[in-house]
Amino acid sequence: MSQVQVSTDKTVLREYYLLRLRLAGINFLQFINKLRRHPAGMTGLIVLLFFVFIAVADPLIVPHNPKEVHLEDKLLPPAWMEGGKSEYLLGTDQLGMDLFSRIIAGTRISLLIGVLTVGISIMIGTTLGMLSGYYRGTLDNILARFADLLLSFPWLIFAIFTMAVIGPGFGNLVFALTFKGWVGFFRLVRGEVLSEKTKEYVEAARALGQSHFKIMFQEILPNIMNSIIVLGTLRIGFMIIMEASLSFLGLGIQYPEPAWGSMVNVGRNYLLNAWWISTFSGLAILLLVLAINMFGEGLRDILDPRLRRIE
Amino acid sequence: MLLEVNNLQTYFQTSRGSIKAVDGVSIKLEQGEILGLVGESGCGKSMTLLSLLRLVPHPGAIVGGEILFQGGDLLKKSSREMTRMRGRDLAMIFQDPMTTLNPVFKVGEQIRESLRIHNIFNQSRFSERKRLKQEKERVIQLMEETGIPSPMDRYYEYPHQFSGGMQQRAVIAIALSCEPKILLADEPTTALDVTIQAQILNLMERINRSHGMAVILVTHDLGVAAEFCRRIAVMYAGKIIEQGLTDEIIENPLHPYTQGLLRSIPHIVPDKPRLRPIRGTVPDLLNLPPGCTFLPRCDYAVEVCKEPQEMRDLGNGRLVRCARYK
Repeated sequence: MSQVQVSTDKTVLREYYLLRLRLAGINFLQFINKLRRHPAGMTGLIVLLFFVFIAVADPLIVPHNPKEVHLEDKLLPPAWMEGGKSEYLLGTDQLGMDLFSRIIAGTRISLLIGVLTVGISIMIGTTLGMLSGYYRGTLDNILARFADLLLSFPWLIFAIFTMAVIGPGFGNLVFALTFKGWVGFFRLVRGEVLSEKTKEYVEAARALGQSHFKIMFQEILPNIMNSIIVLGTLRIGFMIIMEASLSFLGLGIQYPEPAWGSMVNVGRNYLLNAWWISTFSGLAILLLVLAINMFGEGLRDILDPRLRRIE
Repeated sequence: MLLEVNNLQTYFQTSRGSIKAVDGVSIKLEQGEILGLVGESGCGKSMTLLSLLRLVPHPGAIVGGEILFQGGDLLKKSSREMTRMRGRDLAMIFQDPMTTLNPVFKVGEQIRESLRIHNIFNQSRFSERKRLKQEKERVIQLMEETGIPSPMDRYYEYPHQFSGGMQQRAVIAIALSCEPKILLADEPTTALDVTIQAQILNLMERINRSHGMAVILVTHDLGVAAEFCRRIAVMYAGKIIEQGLTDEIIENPLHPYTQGLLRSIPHIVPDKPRLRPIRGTVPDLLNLPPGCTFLPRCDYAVEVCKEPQEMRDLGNGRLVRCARYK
């Protein structure tokens, strides 16, 4: 074992790495190609990238500070309407804050909430689901019952309850949404592990002396990653709606902070004479969630082979 | 003596009673020997192999016996020690190569993984890059040895890009990677067609000769066993009923079950005789007949057969569990 004949020299090894790099590139291009043949998914991705760009570039592109009060300019209509000022593209709200800047700033909050809650949910749900499905037994019983318990509450009521107990705020919002959010991933991963576990490659890994931990996270996890990614993407859109709903009800992110949900809520009081406040914030939510869902469905069609086979 | 299994018992506890999947199996294996374990489906061949690795699936459990290997009893080892031995000292090849390989990893990486698990190249003076390089060289060498053409390219392909025969070669390469003392092959050729089957058997024979690795081959195909093994043990309903050198067993089968098995192999000759299947079916493992388990199907059954039969040693390693031989 110790004397291995060196049958490859350095140039060959370099070729390996180049080949690997090229294969990775090809995989990525193949993915993009498949997505191109899925118009809805592609549109979703483009719109989503646009939103991400806005969220990242936010401080550079906002014309006004989103929390800056201009009482002299309050409730101005959008720029193209009579009485609108060109510096307030989408008009202003009752305190004279620039709606356009606030929507841009809100993008960041919405995306952040979506990505954070889903990210934490995936971590918790996948770990617990993996342990539960792999080891079964008492742990599985307890976790599965607890998950069922959480599932029996309607989402919004549960979130409202949690927020009412712990109070509003960004961190609390993330906590309230993840508190129930991990259950979906838990059930998905648990089910997939139950079926993957019986496959022979798992037994082969055991026969090779692989440890349980490595089998779970190095052998099984890559096989179920696609499903997790697909569910995760679709969940981001859902979480953004939840955040907006809670903010709309005044339980999420509070008014002067530029969250879309609370902006819709504020505009509600002025709906008859200043329709633009609620309308444009609502449209922003609609557009972002629609883009995420379209992209998510595109991903599902491409990544989930079971669904592909049906087509 | 490399491996000595004495009176191994693996039972499955079910709500309807205990199923004796392996019921007092004793095997001896010399260094570099090839032993065939033959029997029909459900006779406990695969469970015997899994018991050797202590990988019996739930609700089965090894309830008795001893497995002596390298001066210790495998059944007395801690599960951590056992994990360390799997793959390094005892490696296993499974029936269906397609599902044995993990579909999401490149074949080469999977072979390399086995080197990584047992720290084959873990000399502290090596940096990670150098270690990786060494491991890759070893993988390429293994792939060459198992007859995978152009291993440099094949390293980066996925299992579904391999044909069945190539997949089985890759699985064998994984099993070989740590140079185990014993190779446990669970019907390695059943999922392959005959020409590939011959190639794989040739490959395993070559490996057996060049590495001096002992092999236990489980198969339901007496032809394969006759071709490949030096000794054969025939199993029936959880027990070994006949054991001996391959030539002797094929030419002069003693146990009525072995005789029946040999008669039910089709021959490719003109005017072939009608096949004579063994009458009856395998007994229900939940309530086996108290005496000889083959009794209900046996043409020579007599009164003594109603008592449990001991293994009779006929000398020269020939063992048979039948009342007809003294």
